[in-house]
Amino acid sequence: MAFFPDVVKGQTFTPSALLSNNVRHLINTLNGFQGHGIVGGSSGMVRIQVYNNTGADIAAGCAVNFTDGGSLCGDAVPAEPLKDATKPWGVVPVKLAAKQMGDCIISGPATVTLSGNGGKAQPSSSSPTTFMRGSSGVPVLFASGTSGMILLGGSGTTSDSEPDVILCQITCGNAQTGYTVAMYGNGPNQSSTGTGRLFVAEIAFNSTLPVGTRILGHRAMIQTTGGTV
Amino acid sequence: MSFIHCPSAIKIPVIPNMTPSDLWSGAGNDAGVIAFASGATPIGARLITTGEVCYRFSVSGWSDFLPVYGVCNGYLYWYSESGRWLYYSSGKWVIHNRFPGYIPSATLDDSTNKYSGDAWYETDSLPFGDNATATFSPKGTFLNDSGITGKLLTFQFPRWIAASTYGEYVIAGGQTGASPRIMGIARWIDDKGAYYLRSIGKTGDYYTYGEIHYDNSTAHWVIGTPGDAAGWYVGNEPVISGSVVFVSTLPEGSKLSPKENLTISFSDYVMGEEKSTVWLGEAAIWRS
Repeated sequence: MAFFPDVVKGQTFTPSALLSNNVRHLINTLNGFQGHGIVGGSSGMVRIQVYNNTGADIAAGCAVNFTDGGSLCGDAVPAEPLKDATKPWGVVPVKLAAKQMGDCIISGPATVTLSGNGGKAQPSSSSPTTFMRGSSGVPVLFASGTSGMILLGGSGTTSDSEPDVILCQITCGNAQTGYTVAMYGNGPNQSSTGTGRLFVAEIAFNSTLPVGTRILGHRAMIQTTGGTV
Repeated sequence: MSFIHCPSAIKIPVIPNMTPSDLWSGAGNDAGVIAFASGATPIGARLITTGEVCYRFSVSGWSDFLPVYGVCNGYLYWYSESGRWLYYSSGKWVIHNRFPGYIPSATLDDSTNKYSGDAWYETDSLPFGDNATATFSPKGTFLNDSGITGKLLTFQFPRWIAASTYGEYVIAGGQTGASPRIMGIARWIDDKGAYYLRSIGKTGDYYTYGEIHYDNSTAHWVIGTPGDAAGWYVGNEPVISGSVVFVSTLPEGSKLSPKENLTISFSDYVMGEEKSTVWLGEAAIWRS
């Protein structure tokens, strides 16, 4: 999945075996030899051209947002390490030095660093180079150790396994700390499909809805910050 | 180990001398605590408490007066398990054994110079601030007892306090437990001016610090990717006190010149840009 930028006159560079083999396979294919596909070829992925709009490197496999703080450079859009997973994002397949131009995968398979367990993975603004596995995010196609391949279903998609509106049943909590709830995605008489934290839109301080109360919960993304470690 | 910005429009009665707002709810190591702006600098501009947004009062011989988040005559009121209520009535703060709202009264019989009617205590204003006290004077039939004395109420508000939202909160008002508490994401800065934010949670056994992460294959804290032809940095996990040097490293045999080393030092605490999924529901305003 590598991107090969142009070599300019006078530039010193190290020949790439990957690039060399891709060229050989391409020529062989044109000559009718179909024994090899193009290694690291498009693999059905959708890419856009980007440039690193920061003053530091963006590591290979890093999730990036497309910042409004830069200007369009040809067809290349300014990119920066992920700051908000709810906004469109993609993955840069190779390291981009400050201001360097490259490409960014916004749909299709991408190789990234993974952590944890679970069938899905998502990055965070504090750790855009390591995708946390779990029940949310994009599908994990393959994982071995901390490396793996994810499937970007389209920029900005971090759909959860739960629907956006779900039946919740309070198990504990209060108004100000939020209620711990069991969720019933398949209906009230079925097994619980997970747990979550529910807040009530408008309520008196120190109110305690009784355990067992059922409320329809609507998915919301809420600002979170760090605490005592 | 984190705080969620409470999305609820929480209805809090008027509290004398303070106006709680900007409520955050703790999670993980901070489960059960809340953080908020007090609206009253003398007791700490930002507070963390174990659930209360209002102070209580201690008084000799009775149980503490604890806040009840209901409204009486425009203000919140307090209740003591000793069977007394403290509430606002006709310009005075009254302690009485009847439910808030009752207006105590007594009549003086000139012939006997004795009162008949109710017995209560009252004062003009409530104590506010650590160690602040107020004496509630006996009224009504209490005055028939020449030996009666007033009740001294002392302000009590166990809490952690800070001057600004993100940073270290220290113990105040007799609070027990961990100190300091932290609210916010720790941030480090290198000598080139680049920032490194610590992750809220650990990835495996380790936090990440922006581009600084623990590389399992080399068992080192690194910036970049070990083995990268363009080089990488090797150092240690960032610390709050002191600094950590990340040494520029190149692959063996590289003809590139090493970059300058990076010195990483703790900078401050910030909100960060992390979001969490919660569920938002609707219910009637409820009292239990």
